[in-house]
Amino acid sequence: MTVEIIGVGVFRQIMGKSKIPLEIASVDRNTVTVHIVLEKLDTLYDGQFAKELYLEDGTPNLWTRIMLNGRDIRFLGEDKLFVQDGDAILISSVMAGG
Amino acid sequence: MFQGGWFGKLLRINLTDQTSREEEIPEELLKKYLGGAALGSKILYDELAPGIDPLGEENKLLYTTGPLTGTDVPCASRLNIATKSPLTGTVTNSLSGGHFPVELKWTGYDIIVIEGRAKKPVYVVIKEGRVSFKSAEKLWGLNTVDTQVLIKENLKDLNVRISCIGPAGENQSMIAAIINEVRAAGRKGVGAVMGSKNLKAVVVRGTQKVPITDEKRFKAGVRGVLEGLKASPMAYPVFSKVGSVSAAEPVSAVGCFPSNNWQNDKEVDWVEKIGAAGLAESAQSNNSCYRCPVSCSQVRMAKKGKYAGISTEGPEFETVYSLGSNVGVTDSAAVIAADRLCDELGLDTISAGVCISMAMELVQRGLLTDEDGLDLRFGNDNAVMRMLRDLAYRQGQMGSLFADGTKRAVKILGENTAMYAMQVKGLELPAYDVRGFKAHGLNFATSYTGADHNKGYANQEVFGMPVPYPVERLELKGKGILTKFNQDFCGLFDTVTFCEFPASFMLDSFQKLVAQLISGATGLDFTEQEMWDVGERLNNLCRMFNVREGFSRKDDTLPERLMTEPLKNGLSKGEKISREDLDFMLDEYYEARQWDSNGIPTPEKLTALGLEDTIKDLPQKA
Repeated sequence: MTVEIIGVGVFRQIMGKSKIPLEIASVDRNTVTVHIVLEKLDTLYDGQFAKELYLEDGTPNLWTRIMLNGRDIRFLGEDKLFVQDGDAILISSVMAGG
Repeated sequence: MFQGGWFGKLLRINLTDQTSREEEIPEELLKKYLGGAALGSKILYDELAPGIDPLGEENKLLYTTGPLTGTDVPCASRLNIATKSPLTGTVTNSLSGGHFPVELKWTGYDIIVIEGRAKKPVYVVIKEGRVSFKSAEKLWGLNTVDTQVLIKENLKDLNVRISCIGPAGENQSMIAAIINEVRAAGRKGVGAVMGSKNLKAVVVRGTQKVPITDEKRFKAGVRGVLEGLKASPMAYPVFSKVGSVSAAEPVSAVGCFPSNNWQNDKEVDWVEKIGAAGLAESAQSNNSCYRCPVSCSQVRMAKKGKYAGISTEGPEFETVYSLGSNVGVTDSAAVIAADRLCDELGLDTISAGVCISMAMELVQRGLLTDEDGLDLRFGNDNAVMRMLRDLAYRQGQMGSLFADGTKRAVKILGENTAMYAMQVKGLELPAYDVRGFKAHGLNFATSYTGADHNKGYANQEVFGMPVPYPVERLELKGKGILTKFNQDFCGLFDTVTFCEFPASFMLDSFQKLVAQLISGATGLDFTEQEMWDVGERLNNLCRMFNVREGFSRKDDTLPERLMTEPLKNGLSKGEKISREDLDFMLDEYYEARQWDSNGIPTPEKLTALGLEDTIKDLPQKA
């Protein structure tokens, strides 16, 4: 299946563009979660994703935001974190302005 | 008794008879309202009769500073302009930074109250303890840049700081700004009020040092601010580098960067075109307000094409929207040129852009004939530049229709055009499609000055800031409480005149730091809770000002488009804030504020905030 990855801030810089399609092999409908996609991205970009997503002690960086189809995954139940073909995942580092 | 921070003096200038007098500001008022937005609003509440014409002689124009202005505190060179807005009919506070605010404070006055109306154009000079009135007849008609050059020449003093209006203010366009050097107190038509008084400029030169009472405590507070900024992941790593336009990326990424008058009917990579990336090649240098280590301001110059050589301090994020995406312009050089033109004409870039985008959509839909031949198509930057001039000079068909904003344009054109007027309480919407940011939308609906992002910025939704806690931007529940938090937070920085950006970067510690700073400056003891009370008092006082003018729940609304048309593209596709959604959030918000279901503060709440004087103005119940 193909998932659209949208990078904001540092993640856009790492990806070199704002959006990329990511091919992921899936066995059946509910096998790939957002976390698996993040791991795949981290591998693809030589560990640069994890460096931004987690603090040195391994806890999640609260200033980064991950959305699945526009919904912040912190507010989605575990059963809502499965990724389907055509889904969009946004990964944003801390931003400012306005 | 206080011994520092404030001078405790107000300068009252009467333009009608060209007199001025100095007044003591009672200490009780200073302690309770501190300065800036709150003290300005209090003076307006007490001195303006309900129902006055904002462009009449009876309206007043206040320049207010705070107890930190002109001190060594970083990021506190801010000026507040308080008046009754001609655009919204509400009380308003419009702020700007730069170097003018500290110079004003150094004249020895915390506040300047400008009253009456000069018979002929004048400018006022406050220098070396003297106030003088000078003829501005030869300046009338000049843009804001030439005005400042000529005043400095006339006074033979290059060190004065100048706050002035351009042609838009002179012509009393209700979307006119006041330009303080190169910074704009842009919104809500404060420039029109200045123009209505035949006042071209206020010129200041100060020499008085702001006294600090407890240096040790004060310096600890200053260190706290510097450390807070250093620790913030938002300040130096992000904001210093590209300034406010960095917001275009997260806002655009979730499909909430408005385009083509909020039709959002095309998917465009606005960041690449006119956002931080699109503007990168135009970058010249950073600029900063007085004693600001963040230095967010970006000086940019168009490098090629027909606008090559035009430079501006900006454009800020809001302008990239209003004179870029929202009018369909994808050329960053055109946005730079339009930003510069607005500064020269003295126009609010947000309202001006939204007026133009409304005109474009009306032409697109066949609801308006372009009699001036401007060729008002989305994306036509030539039309944008021409219509900006028309707005400032009230000339031509579009100038006469839109110079007073979109709400008044609907009154002329008919209710069938209301759908395309993107405004709340008459104030044109800033750069956030709030169909995808619910608390931000609730703030637009309830802010005391209309759709003003700065009066209750939802950092939690826009940037994912996890303070006071992370929130889901699309959720309705909890947004009433969050909006009260954000509005009261913003109320404090508008009052002590601290810049919104660094204040927001220290969202978890700002109130405590301010309490420490003003305690050190004034020698009085302030607590963190009292700082929250100041913000809440401001929002209740301003609400009561508006209640006295007839405002209530019916006015806490959003444009019809946002309530009925779902977003068409991107990660917020399908989102809107329906009437029912808004009612749900309003109920929660009023409850959090302890207001009644019609949005009227209760006597108990007013008493708790020390606003007993306003209870007499509550609507009489049948």
